Amino acid sequence: MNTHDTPTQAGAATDQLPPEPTLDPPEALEEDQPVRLDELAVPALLVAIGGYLTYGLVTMEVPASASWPGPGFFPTIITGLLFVVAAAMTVQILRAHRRTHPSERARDEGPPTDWKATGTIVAAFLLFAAVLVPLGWILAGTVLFWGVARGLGSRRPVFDLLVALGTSCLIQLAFSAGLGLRLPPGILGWF
Amino acid sequence: MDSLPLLLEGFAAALTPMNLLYVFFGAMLGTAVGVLPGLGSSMAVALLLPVTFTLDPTGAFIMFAGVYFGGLFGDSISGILLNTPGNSSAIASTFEGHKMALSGRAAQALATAAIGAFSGGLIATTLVAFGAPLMAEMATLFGPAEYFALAVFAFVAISAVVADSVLKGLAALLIGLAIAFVGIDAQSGASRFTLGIPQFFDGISIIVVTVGMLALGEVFYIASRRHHPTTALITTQGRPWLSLREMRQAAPAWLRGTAYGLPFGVIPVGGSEIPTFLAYGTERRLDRRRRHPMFGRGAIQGVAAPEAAGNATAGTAMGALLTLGLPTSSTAAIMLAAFVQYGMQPGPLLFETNGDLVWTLLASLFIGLVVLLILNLPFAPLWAKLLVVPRQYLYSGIALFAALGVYASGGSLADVFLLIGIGLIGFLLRRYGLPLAPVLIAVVLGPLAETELRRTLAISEGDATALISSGITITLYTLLAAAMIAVAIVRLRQRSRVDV
Repeated sequence: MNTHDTPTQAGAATDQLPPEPTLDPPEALEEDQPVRLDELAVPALLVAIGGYLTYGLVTMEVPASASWPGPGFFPTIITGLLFVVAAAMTVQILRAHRRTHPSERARDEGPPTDWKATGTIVAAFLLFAAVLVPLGWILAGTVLFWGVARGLGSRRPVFDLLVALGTSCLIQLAFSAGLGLRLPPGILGWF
Repeated sequence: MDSLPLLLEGFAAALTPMNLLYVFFGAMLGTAVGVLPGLGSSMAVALLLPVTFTLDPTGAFIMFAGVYFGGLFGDSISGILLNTPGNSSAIASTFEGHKMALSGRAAQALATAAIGAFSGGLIATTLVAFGAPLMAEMATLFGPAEYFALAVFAFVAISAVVADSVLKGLAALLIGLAIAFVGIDAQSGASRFTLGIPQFFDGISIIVVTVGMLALGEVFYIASRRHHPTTALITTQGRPWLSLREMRQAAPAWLRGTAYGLPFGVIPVGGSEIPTFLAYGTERRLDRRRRHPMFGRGAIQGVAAPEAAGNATAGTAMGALLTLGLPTSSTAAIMLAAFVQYGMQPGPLLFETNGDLVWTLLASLFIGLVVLLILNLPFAPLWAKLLVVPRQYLYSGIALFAALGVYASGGSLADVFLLIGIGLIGFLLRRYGLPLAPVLIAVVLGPLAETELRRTLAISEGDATALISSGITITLYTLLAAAMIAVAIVRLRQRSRVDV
């Protein structure tokens, strides 16, 4: 259909997502289980969040003055629900997975997911966060802009650098000098 | 009506040259952000919230009014011209809107959308201005149990009724609730899920969640699918005005759409998705009875009704926020954050404690609507030019603004790292088709739901029946049960049809 799906459309779009090339070997070998087991990432995320909440609940220091129902009351319910939904989802995915015929997979194949692109952008963001205070907004912003453009497939590094620097400077000018927002000056503040 | 003089006073306070400049800028920025694919009005408000911190409250609210309605309209521009609605609320008007554009009537489709947005918003805002004091009075009937019921209603409606898979909707909701837990518990003072990190004591800001889920998630997602084919942008030409005949066709649809939109602003079902689709469906059924059915070939009613419904919902949502203190969409939730920033607590008392500001805000909403109509009727095609910017620069810019907005609003690096983490969760949800709206609603209403639940149980000393002991709560839960049964029946029918 189109490149960007809104939240609701995304549901339809994922049906067309290709199976991941990074399937675990034992699963990939079983021929009658072709559907993307990577969907299990969602229940895995739920379990991870549930685990974090459980850890937090166990280690929570409840003040003696707290009356019932205390700070752990509602989170306990939600943690339980997280595990229930994760379990139900796992069952659903595994059952759907078993039902899907191998031939259906071949039909739905589209271009593969570009993990390198996403990885580049995540890295650009992490780098941005790391250098924002020491180097200042202008340079950190340039890094971010350049990294995201690169991740999205731009192959003109020098031109991109100029665009990135220009955008970053414009923002600094408009928001810091114009509207009075406090942005870290970094090394450029020494001059 | 004693609202009228107060409203006029509000207009007097709002109508200064400086404020007009603010609303103008707000409308421009809001539309610009709204036009960008994947970013809707809630993103517009979230990204521009830090900007308004530097203004006085009146200036800030008047700018918000422009951003709010501008973002909504921007959603439809990209929907009509590019077939990529900026927000789920613009999907319904995209169906026929894009078909109109394909058949060379893009300018008229945009004009229909602009006038629809104007009339829906105008009627809703008028209702809010004159009905708000009454609603505030009604709101005093609401106790803890009633507020909890409202929150439950919102949660279940958005995750089970709106989302296409109940499990996926619930999963998204629970993720949002978990995010909302982080921070110091206001009632007991206990630190929850913070790992002892001081930056987390205040909780995770709604701005970080919105920007991370919507903007960053989108950028990550776009990158992962960059080899997928794209649709071409349709260039607009011809008159942006409607002929008399087109006006006659669209006018009733605008009104019908508004009628659908009005009640949904007050009911917390997560914004204007449901009313826009209801309005679209009605127009479609009406169209089938006509001599020359136009649906499927670019029916003007198919744009007019959902657009009016969407803005009517946005208008009354403002009323619910002001009088009940209840945010019914993520946009409203971010506005709530802005109110708190200025030391205002929306709710029944707001009209007494901050009366002058409220009336100024209401007047600003009217001004925002008018400015938008003036700005968009002739210039909507110009906005679409934003979409000609090469994709890699467009999204780099979005990423930069996302980082700026989050850092500037909190001023802490911890927020930037959180942003990345939440962006990754947003990416995961997009990738596997989980709806994002329940996450945002849960973050918004989660704390309210928890506080009211605990209050109810504390008052009743643990008696759970206190949750369903009043007429209002029983009505709400009954409505909810009825809606769920209706949805279940519809889904079962669809399933059996597929099987045949």
